[in-house]
Amino acid sequence: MVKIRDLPEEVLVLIFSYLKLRERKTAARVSRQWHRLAFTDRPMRTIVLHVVDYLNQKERKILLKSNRCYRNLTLEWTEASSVPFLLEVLDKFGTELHSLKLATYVVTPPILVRFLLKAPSLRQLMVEGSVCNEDCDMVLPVFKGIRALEMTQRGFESELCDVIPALFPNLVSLDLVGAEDAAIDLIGFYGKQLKFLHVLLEFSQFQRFSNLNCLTGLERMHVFWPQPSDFRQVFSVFEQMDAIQSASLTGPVNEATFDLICRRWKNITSLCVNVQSLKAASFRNIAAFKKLKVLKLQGSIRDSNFLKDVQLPTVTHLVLDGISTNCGFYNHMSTFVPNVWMLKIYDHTFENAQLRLITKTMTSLRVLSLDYCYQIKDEGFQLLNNLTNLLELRCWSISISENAFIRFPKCPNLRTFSVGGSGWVPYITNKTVLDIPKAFPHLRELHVVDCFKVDEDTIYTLQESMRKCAVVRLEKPELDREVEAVWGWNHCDK
Amino acid sequence: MPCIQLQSSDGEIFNVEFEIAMCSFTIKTMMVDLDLEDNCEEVVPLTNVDSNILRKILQWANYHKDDPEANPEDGKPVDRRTDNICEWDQEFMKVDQQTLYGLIKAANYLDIRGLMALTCKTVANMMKGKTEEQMRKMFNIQNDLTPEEEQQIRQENEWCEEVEIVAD
Repeated sequence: MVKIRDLPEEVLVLIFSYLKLRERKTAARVSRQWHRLAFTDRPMRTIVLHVVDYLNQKERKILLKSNRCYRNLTLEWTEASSVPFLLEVLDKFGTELHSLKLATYVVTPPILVRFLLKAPSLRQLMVEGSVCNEDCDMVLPVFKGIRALEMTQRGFESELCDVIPALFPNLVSLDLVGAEDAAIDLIGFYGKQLKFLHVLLEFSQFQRFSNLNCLTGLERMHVFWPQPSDFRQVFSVFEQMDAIQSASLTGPVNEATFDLICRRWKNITSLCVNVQSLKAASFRNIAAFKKLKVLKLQGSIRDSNFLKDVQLPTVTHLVLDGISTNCGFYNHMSTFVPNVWMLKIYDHTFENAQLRLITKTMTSLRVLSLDYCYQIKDEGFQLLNNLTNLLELRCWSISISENAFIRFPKCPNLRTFSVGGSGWVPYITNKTVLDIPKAFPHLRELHVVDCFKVDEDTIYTLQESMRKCAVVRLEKPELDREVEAVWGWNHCDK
Repeated sequence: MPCIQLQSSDGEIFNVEFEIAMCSFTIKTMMVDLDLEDNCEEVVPLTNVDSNILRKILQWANYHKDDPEANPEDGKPVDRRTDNICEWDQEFMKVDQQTLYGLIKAANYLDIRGLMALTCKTVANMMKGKTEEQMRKMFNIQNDLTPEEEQQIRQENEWCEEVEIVAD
């Protein structure tokens, strides 16, 4: 009789690598062997150990006795007197770390250096707080392995433009919240070697950013600029980016800029663009992108024919983010993106009539997410029955009645269903969620998120009643992460 | 179609098309090392795989012979999903635990990556949604943790969380 304990341990480790953290935590409690193996696999990249400095002595002892292997560590502290303890934590976990996040008020270069010396394999550093340059007369070591730096501080000191390149000469990924002059200088310093850039531009920095002429190596970028902005601004910096694959431009682009990127960005596979100041004729240039898979459109669109006469057959994921149209915009959806299988609509003007159109014409949809579509009424859910290929449905901040789901016909293949929203969702009650498993017989996963009228007893009841066939979670599903991740550093060339 | 002969641990000989046998990196390496590629007469003994398991494996390999070869260096993120098992495979995995572990051990020995992923995903799916007590019952495992170890695990579990994907 072969039992699971007869399997080689490396096979058990491989099995655990398919588990989500929550399931891994449970598996660790099964036996001594499983405890030893559940957290040791290398491929598991998404688990972070979070250490705060207010742990008591006993907890600190337990932490330092750990036999787990973490790749990501966050250190959060307020007292300078905690530094010796944090150094002990780094002695324990440092050698395996790939990413380190430091969250405190001020990090001085000497402290930073002491920490980093204990993490020789580190590739990514995040600093939440300020890096202060006060006593930097020390000789700075060079951390050649660090390729990604993220700094959330505003009020960037120009002296840091000397310190950071000296410490981290090999950065390919730069994530800066503030775009003061110094930040633009830093981007300019790394120039051609940068593959990923995330920056929030302030109005006064448009010109300097636009005139950078060294960003030829960028593969992914996320640039944010606030509205209202200067619509006349042409981002000529975009013209040189022949290698760009993924771009998120979270601010309105004008026609000249849009024309420019349509002409130049031949390799783009995912694009997020704010189209509110574009005319339909100019938007049609988007057909020049022959490799586009993920498209996210932002901004309100007034023109009913905006999507008419343009077709993007390669697009599989479409996100309409904050689109408010109140027009026949949706009439052209199925010809615009004939092969889309994931559609996310965030439009408070979207109503049953448009939903009817979509469910009739876009029957290949496998994932549909309706966010803040307040105009959808209960009857609208009946329409989803036409989507026979639908595997996943999300209803986010939607104003349905308490009985919406029991009257809902049985969506034949639905496996994952998420309901809830962010913050304030008064419509979803205990009764609503208890009806869900009855309405969707094949459900494998149910997410109930931030519904303040749903109490813990109800969740417990659901978890018990669905345990055999489904998982009930109280966390946000990962759909967004998957889509958003394409603009992130993690997909960069390593 | 050129064939090779595989012999199971209990002595049964299977005539297998080359192309199908090559899903096993172990056999592939053996063929190259022993220079058997042009020699169909040789019998390759598989001392760790009995005939029942070998028959199942060949059935799986036959169905998947046209699958594109997985290349771990093609830059795609590692597949960690367990809900993407095709229907044929789901049906194929409807076996008792003993057969399942037998398949895993054999797939591991023969180094058949697709089958390894399938069987491990299947075991992972058996773990999902269960409490630790249910897991012990399902896999017939004794709880040998001391109270101190249990406290250590509980405490450590509180300190880690899943985050958005970070750099690798």
